[in-house]
Amino acid sequence: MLDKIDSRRWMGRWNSCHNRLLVLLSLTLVSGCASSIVVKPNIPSPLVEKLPLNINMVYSDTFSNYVYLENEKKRGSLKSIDFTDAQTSMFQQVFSSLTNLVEATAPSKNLSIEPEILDFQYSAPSETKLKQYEIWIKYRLKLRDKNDARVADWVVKGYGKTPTGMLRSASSAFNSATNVALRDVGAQLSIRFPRQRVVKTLLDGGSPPTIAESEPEESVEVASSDIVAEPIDEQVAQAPTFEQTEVDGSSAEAENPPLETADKGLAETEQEGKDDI
Amino acid sequence: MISRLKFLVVGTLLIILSACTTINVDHVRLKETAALEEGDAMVVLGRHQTAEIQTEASLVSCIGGRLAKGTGDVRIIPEAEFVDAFYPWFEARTAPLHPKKLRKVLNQPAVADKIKGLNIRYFVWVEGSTERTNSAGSMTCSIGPGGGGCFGFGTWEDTSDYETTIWDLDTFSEVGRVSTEAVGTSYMPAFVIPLPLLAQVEGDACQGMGNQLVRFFSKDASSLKTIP
Repeated sequence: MLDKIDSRRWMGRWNSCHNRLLVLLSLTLVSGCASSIVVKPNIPSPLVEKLPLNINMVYSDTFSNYVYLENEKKRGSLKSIDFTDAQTSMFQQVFSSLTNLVEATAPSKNLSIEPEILDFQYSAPSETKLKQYEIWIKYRLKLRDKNDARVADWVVKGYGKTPTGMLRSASSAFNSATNVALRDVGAQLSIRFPRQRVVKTLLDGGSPPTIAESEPEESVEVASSDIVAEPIDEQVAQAPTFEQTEVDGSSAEAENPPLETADKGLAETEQEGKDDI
Repeated sequence: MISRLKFLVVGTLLIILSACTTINVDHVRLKETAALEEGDAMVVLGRHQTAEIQTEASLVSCIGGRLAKGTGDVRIIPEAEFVDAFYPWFEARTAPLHPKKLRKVLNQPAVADKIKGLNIRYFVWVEGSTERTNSAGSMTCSIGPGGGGCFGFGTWEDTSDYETTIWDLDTFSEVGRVSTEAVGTSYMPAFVIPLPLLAQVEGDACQGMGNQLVRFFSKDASSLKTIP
């Protein structure tokens, strides 16, 4: 009799253990599906020389509340990605290292910079032949002088990737790839900012000329081959246009090509920006 | 006693049946001596400049570890720590691709001071990856309330192709190059329980390259220190 009771108890434990295992397995399978991600900022302070400029950073509500929502039902790896804190942290880190950040009403203000997200795209390993998560971010930085007149528009593009790995969730991989893309944007700004004509003019004590609202934006981009060598004007002359990069494959765009299927918008905008740096 | 015997038998079987890797290591020495002095530091960095080039952080760390063990007097600065400390100069797309470009990065006073402070003498760049080049077989696994199990046989081949380049900061020149190609085949027979017999291709490539780099930096270049 006791043996029968023991065996029933044992069977009960065995079934409960099995049920738990099945629930755990189901949860693991479900967790591999679409996820909502909040990117944690991880951008170090740039090791750059501080310029004697006072800058006010302007973050619009659209920028501060930006969340990428995936509406394509076929793309199941991501539901939404919120990198508001990470991108604000990146811009703050970069510009506080490069310049002195001041309030909007500060009389010593030289420039105000307002970042705006133009595009955000991603690819998951299931969508490409590469075993990695990739992120593309495109920003426009609107620069206005102390009188609030528009003096420049810069377009900056960042690319980040993270390889797939054992026990690595899609969430942590997207988080990491977004941080790499933001680091890329920050790196371009940190290196290129002092070389821009507007900045040079301000540093020389002059006033940068204002531009009309309809003028096309400049691109602040970086190719690893010309990052530190040439002065900015030579780089303008040497930088290939988007059409050329497809042929000679020598620039950052060619090295990190946007997705052909998903990136039509990026390509079109790049062709507009002929004044590449 | 019986359990120990079982453990020994299983262990011996695993060793006998374990997968094999073939490695080729070539090295080019562009300078007669690659002197290292006590207190010198070295940094081992992976290349990630394009979407296709994604040198594994684990391999870079492994090579750094082997160099640290093999060249006792040298301090190896971890990749992540170095890249963060020198942000934005050694990011995937901003890292210099040639020693002359590195000289230009070091024209930045803040960067030069930090390099000097850390006493960094050599940069070791690692480029390449390990990829699955072939696979065959099939395996079926099922699970139900009564239990679960797998049945089948799978095999796959991984190929590692890496090249390390050594830059000397005293002369801003490339002083050596070590390239490695490793090919390994793994097997996974499954009869209820899958039994993976894995070829450690990346690990073996690291061992081959690490040993060669240690030899490169040793005072007596003919004596190869083998790290177990």
